[in-house]
Amino acid sequence: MLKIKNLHVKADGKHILKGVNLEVKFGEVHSIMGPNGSGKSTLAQVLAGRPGYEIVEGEVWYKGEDLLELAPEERAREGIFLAFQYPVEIPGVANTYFLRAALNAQRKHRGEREIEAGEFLKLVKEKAAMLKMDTSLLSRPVNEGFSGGEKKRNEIFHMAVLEPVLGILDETDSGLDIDAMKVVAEGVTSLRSPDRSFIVVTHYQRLLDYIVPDYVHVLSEGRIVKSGDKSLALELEKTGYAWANKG
Amino acid sequence: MLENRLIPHGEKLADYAARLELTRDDFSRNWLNEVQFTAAEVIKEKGFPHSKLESWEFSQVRKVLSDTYNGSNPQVSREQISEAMNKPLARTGLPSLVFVNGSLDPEFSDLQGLPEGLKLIPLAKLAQYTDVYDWVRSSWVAGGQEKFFKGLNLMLTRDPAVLYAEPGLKIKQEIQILFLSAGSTGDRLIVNPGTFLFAGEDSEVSIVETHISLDENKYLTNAHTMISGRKNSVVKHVKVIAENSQAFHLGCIRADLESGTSFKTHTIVRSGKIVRNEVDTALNGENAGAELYGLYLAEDTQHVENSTCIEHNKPEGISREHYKGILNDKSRAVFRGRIVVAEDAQKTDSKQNNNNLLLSRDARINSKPQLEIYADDVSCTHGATVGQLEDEKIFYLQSRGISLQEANALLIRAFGNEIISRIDSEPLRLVLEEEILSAVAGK
Repeated sequence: MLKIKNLHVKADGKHILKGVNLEVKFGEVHSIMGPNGSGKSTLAQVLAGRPGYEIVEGEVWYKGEDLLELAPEERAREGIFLAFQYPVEIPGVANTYFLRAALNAQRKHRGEREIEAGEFLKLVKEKAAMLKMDTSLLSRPVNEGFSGGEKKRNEIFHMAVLEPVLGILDETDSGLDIDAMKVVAEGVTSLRSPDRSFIVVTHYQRLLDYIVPDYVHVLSEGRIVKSGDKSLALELEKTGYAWANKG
Repeated sequence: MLENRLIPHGEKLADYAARLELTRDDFSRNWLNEVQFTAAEVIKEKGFPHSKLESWEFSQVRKVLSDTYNGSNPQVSREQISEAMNKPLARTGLPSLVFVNGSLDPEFSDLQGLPEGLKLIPLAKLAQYTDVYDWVRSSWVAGGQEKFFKGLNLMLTRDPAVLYAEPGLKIKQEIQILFLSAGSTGDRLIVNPGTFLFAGEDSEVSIVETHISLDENKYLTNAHTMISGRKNSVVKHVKVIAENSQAFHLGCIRADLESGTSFKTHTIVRSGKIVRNEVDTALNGENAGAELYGLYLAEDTQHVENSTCIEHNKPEGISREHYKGILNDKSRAVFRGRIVVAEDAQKTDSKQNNNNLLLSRDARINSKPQLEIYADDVSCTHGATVGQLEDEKIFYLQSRGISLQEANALLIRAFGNEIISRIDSEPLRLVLEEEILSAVAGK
């Protein structure tokens, strides 16, 4: 489903990703771990199409298409979803209004009809309930005045409504207490399916107790230096990342 | 004949002012004449705009003053009026009074539809309403930032909309005053609309005045709005300026508020070649509240100025001011917000904000807050911002599947909606959201 081949990315002249190779199949959950500055967030954001990054070399194939050719909204409509590390506040735009516009843009792209108001309301209430999300947050402007935890949960809420093919979680657990993290993790886990894949970018292992990955990769200085299964995460918790920076 | 001498005939305003050789005797027929005489003095001696005029940009004054003006009334067909009334901004569905080039049109006006307790008083009958009469006579020539053009309005207004809200009555139904104007391809026509709203003690009233063009020709709307909020009244006022791309609009709004009044006014500038609108609000009694909101849109080479002054003259007054601008192309806007807190006005609570969104490199905004505080126990804050649409917000929307164009539109709408959403009248709010924000966000 996703094939990243020898990806080199620069930002502000700095060479951040130095040849990343990764393959993700349908239904798999891959975790990307690594020390700060290793390029984890960069990888997540480049996949989503954030401007400001220079693709120096390499290819990314998504569902057989050249992903790097597509604009961010096209990638989203093709089923890629990025849960932001720092979700953006958008005063004046209601959470539900924006989500409905997004959902309709995606449905239109897929040749489906637009969702009706009643249907949509039912859908969001269902997903909000699943995430134990206060429904008053639905009509508020996107992320405005939300606490850190509420913002992160809102990201997962968006993902639940949009039902992507590839969900990329960029340090979703950072800034969350254990209870909030559990709710978020449960939300993600409930979305797991054979047709859907996840890339979970995280610094700490604890999230992976709740979103159990199929594969764990360690990104260090712009390259994946080790891959394994979920036990690798537990190892890392014991040993830390220092070893990964050598060589 | 006096009437003829009072109207400009294809002359520059400076020449018109110079030739106003009028004596007291010319103005002896009635009280209105007295007002006009005072206006003549103002025009001749006190207020001719000059280069040192701080209150607005002289380059724009020069443009207005360099045209030749004619005060006559153009021929306007019934079809033209119908068409203008069908324009989105006019189609609020609210009961409307229709003025064509400053004169009431009884045929198109919904005189029977005025809500219970709200009276439209013709000038000839004004003396029957003592309170209103006293107020109009004394306030009509009161100060104001721009004396010359106000003086001109006093001189030339023939048929102002004088509205009286009876004391004690809470009038929930909003009414619309449509000022429709036609211009000329020769001398610029001058139209002098007047709106006087007297809200009696304990009354509640809500009006919108909308200025729309009947054609694409040249004219100057020189508008004057006066509002008296008597004790504990609740007054809501919205002014919509949507003149054609050749038209000038100079507007002056003056509100005097007694104790306990609650006043909310919106100035929405949609279009016009040169637009300058003043809003002066005086809180003359304790515990009065004033909210001044503005949204101005400017594109091409339009020039829009909003100049406000809030006077806190008594204690415990609250004022909230928020003006926002969306500028594109090579347009220019000026915001001047003056707040004066008198020595007596302890416990004044005032907040002022001006935010501007620039959609092009060449658009320019000049934002000038001016606080004059003479009391010592007050809370006054102010702020101003200028910026573009934020990349971060745009990417966030795109990452959810919303196109770049739609993302821009959403963000622009959100920006402007902060002001429009504060209008209480739902029909008016919907019309404004649709027309104004679609227009801007379509780019």
